[in-house]
Amino acid sequence: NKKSSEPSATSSNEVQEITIKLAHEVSENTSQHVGSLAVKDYIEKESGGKIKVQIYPNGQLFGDKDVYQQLVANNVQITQIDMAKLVGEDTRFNIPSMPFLFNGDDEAVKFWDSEKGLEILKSLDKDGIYGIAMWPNGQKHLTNDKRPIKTPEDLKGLKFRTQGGQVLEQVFSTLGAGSTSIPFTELYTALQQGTVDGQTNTFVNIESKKFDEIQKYLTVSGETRVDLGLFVNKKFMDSLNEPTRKIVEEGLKAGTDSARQAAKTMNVESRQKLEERGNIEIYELTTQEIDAFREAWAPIYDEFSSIIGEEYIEAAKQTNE
Amino acid sequence: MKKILSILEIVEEGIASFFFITGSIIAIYGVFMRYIFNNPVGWTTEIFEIFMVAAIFLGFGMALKDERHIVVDLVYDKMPPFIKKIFNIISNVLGAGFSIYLMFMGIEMVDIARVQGGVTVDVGIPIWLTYMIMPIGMGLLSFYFLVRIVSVIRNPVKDEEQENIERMKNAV
Amino acid sequence: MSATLVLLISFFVLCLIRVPIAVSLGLSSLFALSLIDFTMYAVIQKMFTSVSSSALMAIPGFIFAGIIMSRGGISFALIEALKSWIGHFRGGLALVTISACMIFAAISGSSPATAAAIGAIMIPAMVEAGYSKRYSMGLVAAAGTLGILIPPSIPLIIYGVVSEQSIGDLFTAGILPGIFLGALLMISAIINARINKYDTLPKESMQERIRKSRKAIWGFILPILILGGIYTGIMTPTEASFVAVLYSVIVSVFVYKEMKFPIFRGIVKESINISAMIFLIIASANIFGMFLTTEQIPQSITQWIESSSTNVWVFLIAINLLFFVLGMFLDAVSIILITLPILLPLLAIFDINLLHFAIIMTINMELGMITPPVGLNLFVVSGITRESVGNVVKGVLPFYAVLILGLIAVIAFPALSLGLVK
Ligand code: NA
Ligand code: NA
Repeated sequence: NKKSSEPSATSSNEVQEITIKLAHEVSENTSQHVGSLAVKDYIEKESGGKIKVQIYPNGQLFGDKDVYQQLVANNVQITQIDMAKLVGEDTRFNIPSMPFLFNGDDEAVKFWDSEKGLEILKSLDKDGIYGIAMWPNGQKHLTNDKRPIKTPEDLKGLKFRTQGGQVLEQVFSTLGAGSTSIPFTELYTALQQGTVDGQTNTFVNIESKKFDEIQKYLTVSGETRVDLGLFVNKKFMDSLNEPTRKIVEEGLKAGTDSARQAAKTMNVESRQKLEERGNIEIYELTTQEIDAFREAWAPIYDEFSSIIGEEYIEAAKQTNE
Repeated sequence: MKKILSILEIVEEGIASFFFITGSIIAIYGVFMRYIFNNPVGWTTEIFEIFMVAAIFLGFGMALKDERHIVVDLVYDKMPPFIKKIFNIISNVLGAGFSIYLMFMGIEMVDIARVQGGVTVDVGIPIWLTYMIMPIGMGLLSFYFLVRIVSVIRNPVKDEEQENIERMKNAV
Repeated sequence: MSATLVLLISFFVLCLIRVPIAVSLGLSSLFALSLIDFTMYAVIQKMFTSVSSSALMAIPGFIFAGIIMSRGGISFALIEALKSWIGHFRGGLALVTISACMIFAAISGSSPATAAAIGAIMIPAMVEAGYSKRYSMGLVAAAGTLGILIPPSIPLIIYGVVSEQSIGDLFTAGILPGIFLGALLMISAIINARINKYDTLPKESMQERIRKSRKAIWGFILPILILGGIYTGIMTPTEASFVAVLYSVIVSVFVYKEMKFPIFRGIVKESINISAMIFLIIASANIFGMFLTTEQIPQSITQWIESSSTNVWVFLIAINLLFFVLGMFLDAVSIILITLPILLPLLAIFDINLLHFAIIMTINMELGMITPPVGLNLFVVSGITRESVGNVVKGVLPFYAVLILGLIAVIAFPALSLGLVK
């Protein structure tokens, strides 16, 4: 029984025969899956079929709760993890949750490709994980079923669901709204029955998870972001010989390009679908309205800039110029 | 030995009950804060889960002691007393092996999490602390499997009739 | 493949020599995992995370509430009142049990939670009214499965996300089949009562009925409180289970005055024990499932069915058999996540409506919950009654036929699932 992910030493200029497991927790209509398929296609093609990439989507093998330790244990070799879930590992992963830090996907990508961004992604090296790149999911927008949200005051008294984490909690509490963390399997029912009034998510998630069926108002706010890190097990990577490693690295790059492109087009498409379905009233904030929110959320920067590190916040801001 | 067992029982039951009841109270507190005071608190879900999981892991051993774990009696019931005894020894040895193995894996997990130094997302409790319940729960489970091995070996082989009579007595 | 054989053979052998089912599942998975490329320490991590789910925590909550009700006088008063109203009908209590499961299913998205909430009260009531224990257990285990068919439903939500169907439409599609299956169970209960000629109680006077109902008023308020609390958005089903605990404690202590500290202590211990029993099985079944998924076993079988199905009926029969086999070991959500993405293209080719298929799949998942060796509803009922799973299975068998009949009807008449969907 040869360990497939720990190939035995072969001649160093031949591509090794291995099977790579790639697990992610989202469905197949997401940019993450598109990117994962691109990784698989590139690697399998370039290796002439010697390397197999097995994709486990939908969290069917490992999901947000266990994928981290399973990656550390090398039971899965490649995965993408929502940075909001990594704030317990390193507070700098709060960056996507800082309100209006980036103007858009391009700026976020630019930051995470920069020296400062890569430094954060590489902070998991200590656990035996290589941080490769950021895969964007996009800007999050507020939905709720109580009232259209145009000013910070409109949030007062509403109850929102977050994925957890102190920055996200502050994003709501600063404006007098409450937040509570509810697992996804209960979220649809919780929104429908009004246990929480609203949530915030990317267009793709709002559309594919059908939140327009149970929410009345969508505010195109783009206040915070969902960004993922692409991670690879270190022991696995280091066990590869030169030509094999090169193919895998190029494959990860190909996947990254394709995932980044897909995130953009899919959010546009999802917004169109939401508009066509017409179940949810969509309101786009004006620049002045956004400025009002920006001002209201300034205290979050006072509190968390030092925790995250001023230099990272500054570097992130500079991408907008 | 009896005395140690009964002290362990009280301590174990007390701690598990503490987690179970406090977990229940936290769930209710969350509802009250969100609905009555319109002021949701962020930490309740996380702590609730940690406490209930702790109660459940501590319960693995308690449930074994109280014969709560589900077994298939289909073949066992048709066996003569001597074979039953052998089945009992083997099954409890395997159960002990399983839980001792997982206890060591749990210790390894705690070690790994300590080195990693991660904390929970909402409250910031060190992850390794929440992992402690894995080796403790599995350790208690293995302890009760070992106790059962001892009692199976000590007790003489009983014939069916006698066993039935005893069952009746217990029922009364 | 050889590791999979090791998994299955060692699992059955371990079960037969009376190793607890939870340990048999876990140990056989450990054997199999050690034969493939897997870092073993991560097994305990997987067990830990599979238990750490706040949605699953409705199970201990309702078990806790149910035991308090049965020991604190609430159930007794409730049963007395119910008996006074319908005790003189044959099969009356069975009908109450089925209705209670259906009503509860309409607030909870989980089947074991439904069985736990209703079983702890209604099984003792039915036994006291002269039903056989086996029948009562089987009825609750079977009717409890309606929890995932009658909306809301966790599996239907997952189905909607994976298949890109409207979750609202899926919920709507579950209504008629849910009522239909409930009605079938009721008819079977009436027939059963006729055949077995269960004793009927003497008809009671209106005065007596009102007196007993007054006494039981606190028990009647509880479902209203829970239903209302969830539907008006005050709380999630999991939270509702613990609010039911608080309510039951208050009523038992201050109204019926039957709750003393030693009794309460026993109740807590029993709730922990039953929860631990169920969750050790859930944890071990998760490793078992993780092995099968890693080795791509369900995926390969599904692909094989997909490639070898030549017409829609062959496909439907094969897929129902597949769901049956997977349902023996895996939970509903895992089965959907693993098989549905592979099945979607073929469903399009055969032009099978995705909402209709969702209901077929869900009824199969219901059957899985009462199919040994791993059937959570069987374990919940076995836990609250302290009867062997074998006895619960024997009790469930007749209802199995009823549910399969319902499944066939739903397959044959798509109007059942699609009738209400606009
Ligand atoms: Na339901
Ligand atoms: Na099953």
